[in-house]
Amino acid sequence: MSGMLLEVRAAGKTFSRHGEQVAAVKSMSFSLPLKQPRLVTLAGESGCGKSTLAMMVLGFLPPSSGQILFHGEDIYLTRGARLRHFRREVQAIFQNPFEVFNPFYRIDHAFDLVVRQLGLPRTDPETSRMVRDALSRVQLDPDSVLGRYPHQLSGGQLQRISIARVVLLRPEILVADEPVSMIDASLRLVVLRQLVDLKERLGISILYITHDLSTALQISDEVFIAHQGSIVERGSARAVIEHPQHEYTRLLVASIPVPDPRERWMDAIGAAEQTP
Amino acid sequence: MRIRRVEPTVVARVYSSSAWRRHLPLLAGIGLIVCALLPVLLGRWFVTPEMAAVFGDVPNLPPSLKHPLGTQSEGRDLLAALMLGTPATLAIGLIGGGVAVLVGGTLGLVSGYRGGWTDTVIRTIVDVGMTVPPLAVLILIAVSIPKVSVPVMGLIIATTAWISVTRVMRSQVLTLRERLFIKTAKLSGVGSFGIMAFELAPNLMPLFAASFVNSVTTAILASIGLEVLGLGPRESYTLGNTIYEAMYYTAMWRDMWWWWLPPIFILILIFLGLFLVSNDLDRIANPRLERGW
Amino acid sequence: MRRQVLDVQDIEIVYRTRGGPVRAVSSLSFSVFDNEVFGLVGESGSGKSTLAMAILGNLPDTGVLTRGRILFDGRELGAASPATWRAVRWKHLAYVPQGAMNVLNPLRRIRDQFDDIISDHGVRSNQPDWKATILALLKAVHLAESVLACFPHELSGGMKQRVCIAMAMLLGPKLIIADESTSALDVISQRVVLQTLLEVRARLNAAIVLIGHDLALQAQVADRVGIMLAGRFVEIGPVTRIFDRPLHPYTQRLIASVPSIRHQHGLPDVVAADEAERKAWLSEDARLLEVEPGHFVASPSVPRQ
Repeated sequence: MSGMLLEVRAAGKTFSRHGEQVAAVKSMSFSLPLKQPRLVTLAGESGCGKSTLAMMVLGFLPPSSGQILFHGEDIYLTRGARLRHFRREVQAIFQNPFEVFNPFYRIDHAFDLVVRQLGLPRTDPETSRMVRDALSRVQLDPDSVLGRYPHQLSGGQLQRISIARVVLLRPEILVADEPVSMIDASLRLVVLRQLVDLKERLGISILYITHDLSTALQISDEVFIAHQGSIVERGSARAVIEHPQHEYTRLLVASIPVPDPRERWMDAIGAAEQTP
Repeated sequence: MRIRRVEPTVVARVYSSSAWRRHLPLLAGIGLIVCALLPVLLGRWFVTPEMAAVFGDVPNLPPSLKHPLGTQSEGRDLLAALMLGTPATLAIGLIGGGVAVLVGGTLGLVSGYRGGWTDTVIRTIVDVGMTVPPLAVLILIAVSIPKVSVPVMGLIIATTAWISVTRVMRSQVLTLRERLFIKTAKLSGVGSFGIMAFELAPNLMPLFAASFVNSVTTAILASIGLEVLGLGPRESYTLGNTIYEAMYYTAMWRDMWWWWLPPIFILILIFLGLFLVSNDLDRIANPRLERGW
Repeated sequence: MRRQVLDVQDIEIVYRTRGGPVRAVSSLSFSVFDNEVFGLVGESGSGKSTLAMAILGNLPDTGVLTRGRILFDGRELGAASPATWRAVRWKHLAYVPQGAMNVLNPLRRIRDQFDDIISDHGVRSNQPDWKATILALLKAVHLAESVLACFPHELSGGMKQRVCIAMAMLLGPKLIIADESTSALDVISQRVVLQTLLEVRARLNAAIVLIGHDLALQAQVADRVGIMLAGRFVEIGPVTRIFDRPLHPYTQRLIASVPSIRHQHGLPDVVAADEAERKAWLSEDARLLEVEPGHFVASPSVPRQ
């Protein structure tokens, strides 16, 4: 039954806000296969529930309904060594690179934590070499980065440090929640390429969460379109973008600006009078 | 984004701040506290500690060269009394404030981070505790302890002073708890204790420092309150004890201003100093209070 | 010869900071012609918001215009008095910001806020023509009349932005500055808001400066585009030229990095610029040269033809 690396089974999450029950995620299901690293995208506008789902998959938010299964086990029921194993094998990169590192410590601290998690000897020169290699791999100079504080580095650098962290950990799954939306356009490609690298060279399966379908087309094997807490369409990126079936997907695809001045939005869509 | 400096005429119009100016309140506060310590620093030139004992010299003498602050009705030299009393009062403040912040800070941290039953229990104690007038509790405790020394006095005061610290720490922890760097630490396999001690606590230091100074102020105030009621450490010299004796011997109606005025003046200096320091620390703890540059 | 509604001549803007004076904009010149959409593109730290604030006379206390002139409709604005600014602002020069909360008062109904703008500019607001104008504007931004009775929090993000556009249009300005006005919106609302902006602009014959970091958006909407880097322009030109034949290496990188849903699957091969290259772009003696009519590139990086 579970030859799956990750299975999200009818997961739902309801919050009570001002006395009302609000369903952030209604019932989402999808899976990542074993032994076959894939990059799947969960795409949707803000408020569609994609970030909530990311937190649920990472083990930070127990679902109100349904299950999150890692190698067939419900992650919210695991304890002890199994839980520690889960924490090692499922990692994340977040949207705001400035928030990811503890402002009190230099960048070394983040890698110290990883080294400890991997059970590597801290003072071993081999360990230090591994850390430096991971940083070089994301095109950062270890010496100019390790001794600095987070606020002294740029968003692009910090995001790449997060990726270096993942390179060191080599998890089975990486949840990337809007990893490039707060990075300058000229650096986005670099970061996206490094993400794809993680899949192709290190065999890490990636759950890529974004609102930008264009980047999804560039890197995904499969795309899920999320709208108001549910997955309304799924398929290969090309299929979903060129032949959208669901009405919302059509609207979404039609609204994406194409960077070609010769192909402009010709007619207004959905601009009918709106009442509050 | 720095490019390079511009022509001098422009620089003249441009104001560059200096660290001294920005932290003027802090420096002024420390200055006031140093002034309050003048009897301690300079007293040895005039008097010896023995003169603070009962019948150290002739009682009720007005200020003179031999006794710059005169003597009181028990024959104690007042400058000597202040020389010994000021550090004692400050010590009570530091011990009381320090213990309060350690206990309150830890409880606030644990309560805020763990949530659940731990939080509910601690929060209830705190909420109830805040409604109880601390002086009443302190009086009850003080009368039941036969021999009160300076450290014991500090501890007595800490028993009520920790409560407001817990509240403040807890609110701050609640906001910090959801930050991404805490989530990243969890993803790095750091356990609850590790997160509280090494990820959260360092970021709470500015708040800790500000709370500490506030607690010291509260502790000194509470100790004075107890001492003027005669419940202080009677064996030791403290500023509050001096004031108590002044009241007991009705110094005010006997025009013995050199008795009751100096200790009060020193206390004012200490409180003002602590207030200025705590204001500045608050400003550092809360960056939004700082004028944006 | 097209009429210039905005002419910025060789300006420099300096900020006072704790670490000393910092130059946010240097040797910057450009013009905006009547009735066109000028797209201002730049990454974070490029100085585009500072430029917008300077044009609006809204630099913070710590910012100083140290050199150059800003001419609006022939009138000198850069160092003008607050009174001059008030006369010009909103009536002739309007602003649509990124967050509607920067314009809309959360405690007043929408219709009262329209009235405020009108009366602030010395006109009595209960004249019947104004009511008709406001209704016509709401129709133009595709909002129902019932919006007038609402408070801002009762409207969605897209609707609030459209209210801001209607307010910006109210006094018939000649130039509208839209600073990342759709960045906080979802893609669907973004398209609606932008198309609305263009429609209303066409009615009023106003020019728009559309500031943003999304090049794909500029492709859809702008007539001319200016690329800013570190406080100055590296390239300015008609939108078709910028996309077909970008000349400055920075522009080339930006264009190549923009993802498109028309492209094939896969990431393009773009290498990040190294430090030496970036330094060359920022060199002090780079000047804008007109390489072909209307197309300016910052030398010395212009390729020898």
